[in-house]
Amino acid sequence: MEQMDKSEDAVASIASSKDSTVLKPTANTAVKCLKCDKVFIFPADRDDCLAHLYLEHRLVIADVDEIALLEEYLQYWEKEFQAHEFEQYCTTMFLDQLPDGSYAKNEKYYLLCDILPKDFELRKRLQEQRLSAALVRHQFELTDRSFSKECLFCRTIIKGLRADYLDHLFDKHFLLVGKPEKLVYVDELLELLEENLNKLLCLFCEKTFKDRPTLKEHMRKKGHKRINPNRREYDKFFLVNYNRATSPNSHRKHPKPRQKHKSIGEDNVSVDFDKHFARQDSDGEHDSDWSDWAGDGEHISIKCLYCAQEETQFGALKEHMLEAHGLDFEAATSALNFYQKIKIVNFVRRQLCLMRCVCCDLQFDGFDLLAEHMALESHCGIGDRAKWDKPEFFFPYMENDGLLCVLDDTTGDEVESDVVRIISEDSLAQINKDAERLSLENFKL
Amino acid sequence: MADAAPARSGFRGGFGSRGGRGGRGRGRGRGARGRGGKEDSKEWVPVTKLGRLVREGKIKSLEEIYLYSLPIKEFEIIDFFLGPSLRDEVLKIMPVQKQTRAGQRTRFKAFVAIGDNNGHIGLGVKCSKEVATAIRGAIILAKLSVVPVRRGYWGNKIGKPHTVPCKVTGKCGSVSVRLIPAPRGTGIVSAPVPKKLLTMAGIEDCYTSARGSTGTLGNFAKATYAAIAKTYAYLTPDLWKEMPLGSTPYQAYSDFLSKPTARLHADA
Repeated sequence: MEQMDKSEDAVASIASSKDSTVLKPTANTAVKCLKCDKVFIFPADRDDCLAHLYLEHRLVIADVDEIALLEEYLQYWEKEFQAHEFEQYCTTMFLDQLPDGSYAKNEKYYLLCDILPKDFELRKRLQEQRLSAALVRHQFELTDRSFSKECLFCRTIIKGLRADYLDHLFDKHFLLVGKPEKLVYVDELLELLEENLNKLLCLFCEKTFKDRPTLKEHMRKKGHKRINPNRREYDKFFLVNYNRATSPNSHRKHPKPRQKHKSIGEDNVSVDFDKHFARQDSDGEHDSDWSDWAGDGEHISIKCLYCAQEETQFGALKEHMLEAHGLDFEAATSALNFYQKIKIVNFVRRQLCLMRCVCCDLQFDGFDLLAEHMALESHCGIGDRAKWDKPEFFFPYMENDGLLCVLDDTTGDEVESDVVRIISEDSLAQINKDAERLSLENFKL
Repeated sequence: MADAAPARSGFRGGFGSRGGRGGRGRGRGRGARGRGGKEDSKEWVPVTKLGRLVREGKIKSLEEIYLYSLPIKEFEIIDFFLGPSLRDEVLKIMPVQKQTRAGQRTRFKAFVAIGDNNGHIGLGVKCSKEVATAIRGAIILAKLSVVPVRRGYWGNKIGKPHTVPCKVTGKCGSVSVRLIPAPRGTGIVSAPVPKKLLTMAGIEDCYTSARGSTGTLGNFAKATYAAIAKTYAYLTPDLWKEMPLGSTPYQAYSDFLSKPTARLHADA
């Protein structure tokens, strides 16, 4: 893993931040300074902003490169600091120098770091936000077929999936960018590569060459048809980097204790149970658990038959129809089979779409008039059987009609013979002696 | 212009070594050879008896395996029969987190559905530290779970079967999904998740009725899969015909068992 040069010294941390990258696509956002009214346009003014905070307000943010979405982080704290002072949230340090490096005695500096639970939660939340945004984009890129781009080396235009483009780069030109499943924000990555090639820069060693044929020859001979692993600008394109929750420094601390455990031997009772044993077991359980996927919380709403009211649950909708329109759906359809219920729903939808009353078939000019009429005459019913029991109402009238997906079907498993006769398809299985012998092996004598 | 791979071997610019060094980069493509998933079907070395039978071509179709309810333990078997027509779809990738003493540990869980739009459907889920590994693992598990789908005709036997042959219900968790036959041209009347699965199974027209907490999309998908799988479990009259079975070992050896053994004669 990449080592960032982190030093505890507040001054040096500003210098190191110049090498860092923001793990999300570049988009310009305006961020106001935490204490005064100066505005910075991110991502260009990122370093200026951090320098300003340090020089003017003596505020340093710990692990600033690890923060997922720095703009939102700063905006959050800007709101907080409008009401509170630095001291309430930051740890105060005393250093023997002024911001510009000259000597002074006991100058106060403020450090905003994740010892504070609020800050820790905020950082975690931003990390998760960035990860889910990246995953959404990743999912899109995996399936989107409308991608089209001219190859970086030859002049063919590749259309279809981004994976096809990356495969072409690898098959024809032996340029290994990375596997499509592991990459995200592929469009930007390709643009970056294109830019570098146009500047006649080798992708790997970054030396400049005088023209394209020489560059190509160099990359081919030296095997430099790869991305430079040391360049952090490419971090944001690889999904694995979005996973990192802790800084590289803390990773370094861990291998040592584990080695000590191994060398001591069996009489060491205090083996870390969590790390060595418990982890494997609990993983197996959760691995094949489908109930994890809880959905977005966006429930499919069911639209009422007679007004624009929408409900998420069928029970709630039936209650609404009873209260607002005087229709007891349950009672009215109790004697009917599933197909008849479907027909009724489609019939009512069509009637309302045509602005006709359900029961008396009167046409109205506006929906309000129709609603008024139906309320007055209590014509919010299901209509005559003769009107809705037609085969055309088998087909859903409204697109994505949620009501059709929740109708109860309490009759048996056989399709009612008065509706239709269902013919199953012929089964194609042939007897296979070898497979049969294999199956009989399971019968032990 | 297409660059040809240098034929020099042993030179550090060679094709093989270049791939190896590239693989050591941070989480990027794992070396040239493993890339692209272009595993030749000829490279498959079966490890189960069924796999060996399939490889030698003794079994002509997947249906012959289903007839005897043989467990399929190698996904290459499915690939062998259905390979080119199988389409996989990643339904969802979600990060799952576990609190360890070293902080949060995030892994990715991939939910994959696979089907050939003509009578086969499978579902798989896999959790892994990397997205690509999770997707690959989930696709393999989905292939292993492929089941045949029985379809039927509404009313008259014209054209291809398009709807479910009977009303079937599948349940998972609190969600129960009921599939009901529909006339040709209805399309699939359901929520987006089951609609995807039913399309991949090759069912063109179907009504659905869902109960329970359908917000849990994982259980919703699994319940739909269970319902689709039941189409072949339902015994319709045309399946009443008796299929000749091979003799059970008891029958084959019954002659041998009924005869007094040579040993007895010798003792007597």
